[in-house]
Amino acid sequence: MKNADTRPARRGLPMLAACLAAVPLLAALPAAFLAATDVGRFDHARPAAQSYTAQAPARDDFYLLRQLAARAELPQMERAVEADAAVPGQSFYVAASTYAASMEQSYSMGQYGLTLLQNLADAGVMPDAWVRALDYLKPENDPDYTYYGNFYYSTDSLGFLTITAFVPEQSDPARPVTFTLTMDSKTGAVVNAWLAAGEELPAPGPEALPAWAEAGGLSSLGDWTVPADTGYQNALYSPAGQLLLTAAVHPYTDYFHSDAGGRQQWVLSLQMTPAAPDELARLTGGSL
Amino acid sequence: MKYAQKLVCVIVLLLAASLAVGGCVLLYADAADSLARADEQNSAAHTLACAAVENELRTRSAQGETAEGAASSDWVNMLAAWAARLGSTAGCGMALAAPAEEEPLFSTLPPGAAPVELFAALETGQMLARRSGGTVTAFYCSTLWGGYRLLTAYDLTGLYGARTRSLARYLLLEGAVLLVGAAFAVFASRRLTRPLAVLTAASAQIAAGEYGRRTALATGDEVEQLSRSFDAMADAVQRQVTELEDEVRRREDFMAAFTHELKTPMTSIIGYADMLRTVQVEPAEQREAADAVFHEGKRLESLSRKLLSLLALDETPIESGPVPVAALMAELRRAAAPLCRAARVTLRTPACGCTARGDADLLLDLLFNLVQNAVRASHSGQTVEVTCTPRGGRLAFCVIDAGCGIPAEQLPRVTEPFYMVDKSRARRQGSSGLGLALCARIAQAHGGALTLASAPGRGTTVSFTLPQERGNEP
Repeated sequence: MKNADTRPARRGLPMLAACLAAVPLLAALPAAFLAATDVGRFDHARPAAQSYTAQAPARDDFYLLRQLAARAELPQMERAVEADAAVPGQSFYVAASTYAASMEQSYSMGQYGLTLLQNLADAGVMPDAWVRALDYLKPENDPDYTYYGNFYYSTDSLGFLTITAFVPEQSDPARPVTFTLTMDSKTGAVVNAWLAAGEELPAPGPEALPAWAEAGGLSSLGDWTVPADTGYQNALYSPAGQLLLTAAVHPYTDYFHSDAGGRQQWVLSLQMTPAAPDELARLTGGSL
Repeated sequence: MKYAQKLVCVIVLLLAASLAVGGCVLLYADAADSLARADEQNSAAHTLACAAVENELRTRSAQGETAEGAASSDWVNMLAAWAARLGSTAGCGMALAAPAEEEPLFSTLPPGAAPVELFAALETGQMLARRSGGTVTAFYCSTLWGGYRLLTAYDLTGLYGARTRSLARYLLLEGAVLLVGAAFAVFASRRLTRPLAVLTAASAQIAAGEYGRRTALATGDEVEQLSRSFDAMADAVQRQVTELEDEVRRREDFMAAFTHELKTPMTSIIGYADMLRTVQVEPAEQREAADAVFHEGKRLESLSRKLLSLLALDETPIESGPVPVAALMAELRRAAAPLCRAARVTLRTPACGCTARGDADLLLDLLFNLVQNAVRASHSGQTVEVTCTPRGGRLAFCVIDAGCGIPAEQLPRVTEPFYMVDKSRARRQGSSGLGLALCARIAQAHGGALTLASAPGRGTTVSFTLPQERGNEP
């Protein structure tokens, strides 16, 4: 009888032990469950409760574009002639002079202009050959400062700086330029460049204008597109910035420096032109 | 494992499982709600920070101040100082990356945060929580105007600390509930299984021979019904055991009496036969011995005949038929006449025209034995009367004498085989001790019972009933 009584109790010992072991395990389950959920929660990116939608870039967000628009939109006024006739209190724009006689002569400003051109070439905005063609103007190639007096600059009322190098052999104030560029004096961005060369040099590629936009701090406009059917060899347009970038190389005949029949020249032109979308076709002969 | 222990285990396991699942759901839902609220708040703060930083970037850009150019370090420093003030106000750290740049322009994120890695891991509109040491930080990333990317960080350590404290409180509560639940389970299981222990002990005691043991549990449920059934079963067992014991005792008594009743006449017969065989006796003594042998032989013959009759009644059914009472009484008077004449007792029988239903021979044996006993109990000159009265479809017969009577305490046993009230007188009168037993058995075989009423010194009345034959009522 004693064996019969104790046998079931002995048989039940594993079950009792399993029960005693299961109770603390079950009791600790919430802690283990939370730890397991933490594993899935930490270090895993997931959507936030709210997502922020950024403002789309616009023309007025960029100082350079505001300046360019102002330059295009303000009433034009000749510095010497019409200043006195301006209506008091009305905004107006006084353009930079393009005549050597009314510009300031500055050798260092000319060298600065060459540096800006070199920076553009380094940024891929223009082929380096165009800048190398101007190497004779640099001091290391002109130890006698032969061209010291051939660099001029002028500013307009919006702070744009125009630097021009005239052909050195000529003494006529109307002599043509070798290069001229316009930059925004606050941001340092070049907004126009015009370079002349006596031989045909490579034209800027399709990557040149995006590089120029980036150099001018305008790549974040984010909507640069190539307008269709444009008359330009290379053009880029931003509807948000309402800005047209163009690059072109074309020949022309310099009759002024030629004794007879003129002389064949090539010119590289980089232009930043404010243009509303409805003005684009008029400017380029094309559309978006 | 005892049943009570199994109950305790099951209850505690169920309780633990319920608490575990409930705790998981409760704590997880609570933490999820808190984190969702924090996410909403942090997202809103992040959105505000994005708007502020973006506005600052646009304003500075419109003023011509950008990250590019010679004054970039000043610009970044100014922006970082401004962002630090904004972050301290909004309670967050932040890092700003210029478009397409991996390294941030500045970072006021908490120490240990890796902005470059976070900028790479997070896309705009995403968040990420990270535990570093004892702190938990949520990082939110958005792309701003102009492709700038802003990363803000918010401290979730307090939130997770609160959750840990909630978990600790819940675990303490869970442990307390489990302890109380286990104690209650032990108490309840013992209380629930106590009737089973009582039943087990009672069955063991009954098995050990204590047939009077009963459980009589009053729990008001199925266990009480089981207890009643158990007690009813014990009653039946006890009754059957008692009947078996009585039967055994009766058989033992029967065998002892039978042996004795065989031995007594055989002893006389053997003694007289031996005397006749070995001793030359006088003719008178020889006659006396022969009479004794004859008398004892007749007793043995009567004994064997009645035993055969009893056995026959036990083994074969009676042959019932109409028995006219008048004819039955006539046969009785004829059979009992020598007996009554020898005892000088008058036998009075009824003049009844009824007809009984039964076995005529057995009924004659029944009445003859009763009359024989009455005559033997009567004194000389007394009357033995037999009556027959129709009653309720049956005929009630009574055999009445005014003899010596039977003591009341012996009345229940006089129908037992070989039981004799006065053994010496009965043997002397040639009684076998089976007469009344045979009478009781014959009455029982006819659907009746032998009833005795007696008073010592005043006589005895033995009565029984027989089925009355239909259509022969007087």
